Amino acid sequence: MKEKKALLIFLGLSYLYGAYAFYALIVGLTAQASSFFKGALPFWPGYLHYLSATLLPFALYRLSFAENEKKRVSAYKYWGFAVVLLSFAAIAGIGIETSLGALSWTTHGLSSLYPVGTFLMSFVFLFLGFLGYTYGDRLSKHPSDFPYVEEPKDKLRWLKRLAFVLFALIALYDLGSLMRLPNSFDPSSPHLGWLFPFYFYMLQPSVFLAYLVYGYRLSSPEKKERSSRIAFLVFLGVGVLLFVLRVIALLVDPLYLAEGGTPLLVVDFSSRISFMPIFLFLMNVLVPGAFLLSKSMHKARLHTSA
Amino acid sequence: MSFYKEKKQLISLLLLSVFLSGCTNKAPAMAEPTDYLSSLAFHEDFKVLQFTDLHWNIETNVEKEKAYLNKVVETAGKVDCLFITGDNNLWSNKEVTTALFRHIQSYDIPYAVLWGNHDRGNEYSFSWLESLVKEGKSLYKNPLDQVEGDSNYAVNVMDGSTIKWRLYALDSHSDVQTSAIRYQYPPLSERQKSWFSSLAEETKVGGTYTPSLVYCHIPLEEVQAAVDNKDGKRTYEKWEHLESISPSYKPSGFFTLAKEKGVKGIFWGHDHANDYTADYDGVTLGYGVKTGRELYYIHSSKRNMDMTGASLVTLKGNGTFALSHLYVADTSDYETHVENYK
Repeated sequence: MKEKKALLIFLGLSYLYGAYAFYALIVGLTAQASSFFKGALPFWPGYLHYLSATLLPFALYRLSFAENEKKRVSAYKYWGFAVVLLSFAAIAGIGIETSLGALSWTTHGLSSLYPVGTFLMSFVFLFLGFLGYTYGDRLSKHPSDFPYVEEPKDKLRWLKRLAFVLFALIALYDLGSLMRLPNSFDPSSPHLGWLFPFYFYMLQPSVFLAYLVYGYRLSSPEKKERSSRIAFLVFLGVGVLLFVLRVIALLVDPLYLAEGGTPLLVVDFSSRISFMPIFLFLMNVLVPGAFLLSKSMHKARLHTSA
Repeated sequence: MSFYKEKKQLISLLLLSVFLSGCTNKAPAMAEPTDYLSSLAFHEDFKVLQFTDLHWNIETNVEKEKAYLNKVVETAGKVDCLFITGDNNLWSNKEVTTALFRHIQSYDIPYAVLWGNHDRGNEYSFSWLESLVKEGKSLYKNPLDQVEGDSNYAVNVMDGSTIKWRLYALDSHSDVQTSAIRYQYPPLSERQKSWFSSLAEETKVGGTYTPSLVYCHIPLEEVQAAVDNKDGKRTYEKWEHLESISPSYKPSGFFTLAKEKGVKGIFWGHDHANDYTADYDGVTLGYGVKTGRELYYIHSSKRNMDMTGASLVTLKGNGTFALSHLYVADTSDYETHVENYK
C-alpha cells in the first residue's frame, strides 16, 4: 500500500512536469517542422528529455494501477529502460554537441536554462529510470504484495486505452500551455473577460483526469456508483457552461482568441485549424457525458436484474 | 431571511457586472488624429527600408541573425526609416524578442513596427511587447481607440511645414474563426477604413492628397487580380510568386479607398516565397522581400538565388518613388543582388 501511495504522489508531480515538457515538445517540434528541421540539431537533446518527462506520468499510472505481478514487473523494467535510454541520449547529445561547438552552454532557446537545465534534469531522470528498472528486476526475483487492479476484459479495451492516452496527452498539452500563461498574461487585454472562461475550459481535462485517477479509480465499488454519477454530472455541467460561454465569446468578440489566446493555442494558429476547441468540446462535454450515460445504463441494468 | 436573499442577489449582481465588464472591447475613448502621427524630415531620395517576416524564435541563432541584419542594412546604404512589417517573432520568448528589438534600436534609425498574424503567439504579453517596441527611435503608436488592430498609425515625412509624403502602418490582424474548424485572415475593417480616410483628408491641399505609401502584413486581394490581369488594369509587373497568395478571406475594399486618397504604393509581407510586385490600376502593389531564413524561405531557381533580404523605397520630392529589392543570402558569404523595380 505504501508503494502505491508513493507512486500516486509521484504521479501527480510527474504529471505537472510532464505537462510543461509535453507542451514544450509540441511547440518545439512544430517550430522545427515549419522550418523543415533546418536548425534542429542543437535542440534534439531537449526534445529527448521532454519525451522522457512526458512518458513518466504514463509509466507511473501503469504502475499505480498494475493488473498483476507480471505486468507490474515488466512496467517497471520497460518504462525504466525507456527513461534511462532517452535520458542517456539527451546527456550524451548535449555533451557531444557542446564539445563539437554545435551547442553552447548559454544557447537558451527552448527555455532560459537550456541546455544546462535539461542536462541536469536528464541526470535526475536517468537516476529515476535506473531506480525503476532495478526495482523491477528485484521484484522479478523477490515478489512483493501490491493492491492489484483487475481490468474488465471487454472487446473495446484497447480502444478505451488509446482514447485514454489521447485524452491524457491533450490534457497535458493544455495544462502545459496554461503553465506558461504567467509569461503571456496581459491584464490590460480587452479580451480578458472572455479569456478567463477559456482558461478554465483548458484546465478542465486535467481536473477530470485527476478525478478519474484519485477519486473514481480509488473509491470503493459502492461509493463509485453513488458519487461518480454526481461528479460526472458536475463535469458535464461545467463543460456545457464553458462551451456556451465560448460560443457567446465568438459571437461578441470574434478576435478574442486571435488577439489574446494565441500563446495558448500556438499549434492551432500556426496550422490555422481550430483543433483545440474541438478537442476541448469532446473532452469536456462528450467524455463526461459518455461516462454519465454508461453509469446510468449500468444502474438501470442493476434495477432490471433486481 | 429576506435580508440574506437581498444580500445574495446583490453579490450575484456584483459578480455578473465584474464578469461582463471584462467582456467588452476597447474602452469607447476616441484618440485625436495627432495621437497617431509622428514626423520625420524629408530630403530628396528619402530611403525607407522594409524588413518583413523576420520570425525570430526560440531556436534562432541570435548572433548569426544580428550579423545578417547588419549586412542587409549595410547593403541598403543610408536609411532614413525602417518599416518592420510583421511576423517579427513566432514561438519566441522575452530574451529572443528583446535581442531583436535592441538590435534594431542599435541602428539609431527611426523605426516603425506593425503586427503580423504571428506576433501574438509568443511567450510574453502583448503589452510587454508594445513597451519594448516603443523604445529608441520608435515611430510606433497605438492610442486607445475603437479602431480594430493595434498598429494603425502614420508617419509624416515633412519638408519644413509641408507634409511631403505620408507613410501609413496598418494592422491587418491575426486570424479570426470563420467556421467550426477554420481560422482565416479578416479584411481591414470598416472602422480602419474610416480612420484611414479621416487621417488622409488632413493631407488634402487644393483638392490633391499628399502622396503616400501603406505598409501592412497580409496582402490585399488586388494582388491576385494583378497576377491574373483579367481586367487589364495591370500595367507592369516584376519578380515572382512561388507560393499561393493568401489575402483576407473576403475583400476589404481598401484598395479603392487608398487609390482615391493618394496612395502610390501598398507593401506587405506574409507569403515568404513571393516577392511579386505590380502596377495595378495606378498603384504599386508589392511583397517585401522576406528578411532572413527563419521559419521558411525560398530559393528562386529562375534567378538562382535565395529570396531573402529587404525592400527599399526611395521617395522623391516630385511625388514619385523608386523601389529596389535587396537580396542578401542568409549564409556565411552573404551573396548580394540588388534589383530595381523599373
